[in-house]
Amino acid sequence: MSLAYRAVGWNRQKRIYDLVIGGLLLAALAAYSLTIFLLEPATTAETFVIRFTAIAAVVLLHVILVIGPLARLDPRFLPILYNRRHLGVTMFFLALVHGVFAIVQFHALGNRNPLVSVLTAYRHDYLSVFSNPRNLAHFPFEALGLAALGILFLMAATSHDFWLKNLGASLWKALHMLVYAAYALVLAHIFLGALQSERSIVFPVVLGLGFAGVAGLHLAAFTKERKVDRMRNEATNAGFVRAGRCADMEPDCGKVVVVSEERLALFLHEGKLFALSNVCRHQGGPLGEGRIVNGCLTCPWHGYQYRVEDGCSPPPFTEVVFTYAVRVIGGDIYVSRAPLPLGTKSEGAAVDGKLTMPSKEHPLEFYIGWKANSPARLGKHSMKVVGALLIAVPLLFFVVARVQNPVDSGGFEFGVERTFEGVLYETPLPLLQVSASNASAAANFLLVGYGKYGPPDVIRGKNGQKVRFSGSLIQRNGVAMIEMNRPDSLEVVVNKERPSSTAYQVSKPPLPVSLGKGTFVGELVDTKCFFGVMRPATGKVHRACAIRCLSGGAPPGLLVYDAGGNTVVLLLAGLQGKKLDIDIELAARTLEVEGDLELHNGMPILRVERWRFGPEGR
Amino acid sequence: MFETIVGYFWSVVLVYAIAGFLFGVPFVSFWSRRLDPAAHGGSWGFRLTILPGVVALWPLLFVKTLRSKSARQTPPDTEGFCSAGALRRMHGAAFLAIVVLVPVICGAALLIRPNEKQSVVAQLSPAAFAESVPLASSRPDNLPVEVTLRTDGRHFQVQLDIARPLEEPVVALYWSAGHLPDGVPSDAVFLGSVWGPTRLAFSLPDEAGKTPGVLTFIALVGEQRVVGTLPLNRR
Repeated sequence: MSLAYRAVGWNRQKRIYDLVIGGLLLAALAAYSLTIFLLEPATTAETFVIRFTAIAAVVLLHVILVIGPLARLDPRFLPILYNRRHLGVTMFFLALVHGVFAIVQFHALGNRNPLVSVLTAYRHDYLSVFSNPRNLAHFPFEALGLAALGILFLMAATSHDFWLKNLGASLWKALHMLVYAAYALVLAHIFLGALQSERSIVFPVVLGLGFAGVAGLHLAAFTKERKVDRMRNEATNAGFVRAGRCADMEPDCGKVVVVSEERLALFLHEGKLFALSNVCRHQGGPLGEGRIVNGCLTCPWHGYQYRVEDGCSPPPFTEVVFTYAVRVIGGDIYVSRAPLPLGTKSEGAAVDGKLTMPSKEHPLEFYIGWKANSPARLGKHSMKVVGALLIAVPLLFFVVARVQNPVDSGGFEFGVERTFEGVLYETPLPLLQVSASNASAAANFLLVGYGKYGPPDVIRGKNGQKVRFSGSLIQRNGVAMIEMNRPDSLEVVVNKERPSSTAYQVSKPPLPVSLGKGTFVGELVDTKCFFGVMRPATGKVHRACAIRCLSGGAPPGLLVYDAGGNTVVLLLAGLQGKKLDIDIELAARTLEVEGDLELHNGMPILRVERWRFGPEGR
Repeated sequence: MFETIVGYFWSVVLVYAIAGFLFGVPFVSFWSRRLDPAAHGGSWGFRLTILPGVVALWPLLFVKTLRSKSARQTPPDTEGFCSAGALRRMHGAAFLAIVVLVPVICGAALLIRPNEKQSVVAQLSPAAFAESVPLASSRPDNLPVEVTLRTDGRHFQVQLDIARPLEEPVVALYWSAGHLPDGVPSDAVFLGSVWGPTRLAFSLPDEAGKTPGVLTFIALVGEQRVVGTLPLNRR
């Protein structure tokens, strides 16, 4: 209730609130990082950040959504409602970090603007659901997340009271009700994204329970509110509507009544009855559930105050609510149908002195956020809630980290440059053949470029020549690849014995060993990510990245298994003399590929004759 | 086509945001007080806090600022919330839509998620021979590798149990007939790449059953060098 705006109107309760948010996030981070460190040490920092911020944001979104109905059902939760906007802003920043990291990781350094890629990487699957309902599983889930992030941004950006006042309460409230749309988008983003790959039952169960909790609490609160609305008062007396009995009123405690379909707040203060609008000018809090504190009606949500006589906030504050004329007739309270002009002072209605005022002990102490200390019993309840959260939240993060899909293996010596020397071949796939001196056979290193690109153009025309260049090593399960991140370092190694020759002209590449023709079912992957650059490198969450890499020229592969249950990638190439013809937008989808399987110096290459969708079809 | 449209969409967003920023800086610095007297004397933290919202909603604020002639004439704060009943109805409708839509979409997403079995390509299996028996085990110096020579009676195989990641980034394994050579002989046979921690199995040439041989581990990256050798004997 400050007069000049501040970024945050800090007070002790808000500081405690934010410390609790920070503490819970730290506890969650500790539980998650320890579990990941012990179980999945190969997890990259980017993947860790993307996963942790996603889980934390979803948990916070659920907490934010249940606070409202919880506080409606049980006023002991009002302290958690008090500073909910900080929870919302925290959640937005977590979602923002998740979104930025995901866009950079999966869309940057490719052949499209990352922001364009995030919406168009597999654009045909926006509408493919209409040709086959099963294609819903392939819907571009990134667009849903981006839409949710946009809504959360609008909400976070307009969370300051400046916006409430200057957008107008109705528009502001409507804008902030978009949180339900954001919630639906987030759930669809998760179910059509990560949960297409994550197979643990824990995820749908936890999210289902979360949704049931949110829906159930809202329905319970809605039912409670509807009961209040049904308590309509029809009896009238000279334009006044009966609103209740004096005997039901407690001194300085509010009572909500419904008059002409509007909720009003009745207050008995210093022996007089007053009626005001029930809707706080700040965020629409229920004034009738408030108390008289320091002579002013005080809203239970954020402690905004109004004088009961004229509905005005005490100076220097300027908020005003409508007041209503009140009469007491025979122990019954009557309220005028129409409000008095805004700011009009009402004398109130004196209560008949013969009435016996019930002197009940207040069942609950009244919480006011801007007061330094919260009432003892409420404080204890809040401590219990925080204690329960301190156990439940880290436990949830531990369980989620425990059941998440293991990250793919493989390594990428990011930032480490090594010098490679060997014979360069352009076909069937760009590779460098490195042999130990004099050995009859050699190891193959597939070649790719920087970022989400295939090998740079400098290798063109150097088929069969001995070259030397710097690059970074990528390897997984014995398959090695070089990222040629310094194409300018490539030099042809001159044959000292034949200086007139520009280079070693090495014999033709070793003849491949044919393993026969076959049909193979597997996931279309980009080998650069799969062999170690990205973890995860498979599945729906990685689909857009795979498309970017394949469209940039990274060698495609078909992910299958060997008899030992290990993943093996069959490198895909065209038939002899033909270019590989495969729709790269189908990356991360299961395909059935028919062709000739060959071993090139131990490297399995499938020369694709034809392909179609996997057994489940398009 | 779709990419072009999306490209234009982001361009429009960028132009809108730049315009919003150009409007936003003077707005948070000076003009906001015309709209709201409480902004007068507001802290810089407050101005920065509202700037993202100003960038997002600048046309609305632009119009409101134009309409507000001066701070002295700012109308009193009379706009109330829409009626509580209307608010609850809006709330209820929004939530009802979600209660119906979300389970349908999420349930469908779970039911139809692909569950296709991927091929098993037996030809690529490095697994040990089905009926093979171990003949001898030993380990090279300086490498965390346990090497077991196995046979199924007709063919020979080496099984490598690698306890931890190797220090060298790429290690190639060669077999050559004879006794410990100096370096790698020209007729050395490349068996494959070695990595760990894992279990690997490589088939040996048929002559490995007749003559003694040597396994040589060579680091291929950087300065090529022998990182381990192991005579391969049947006993």
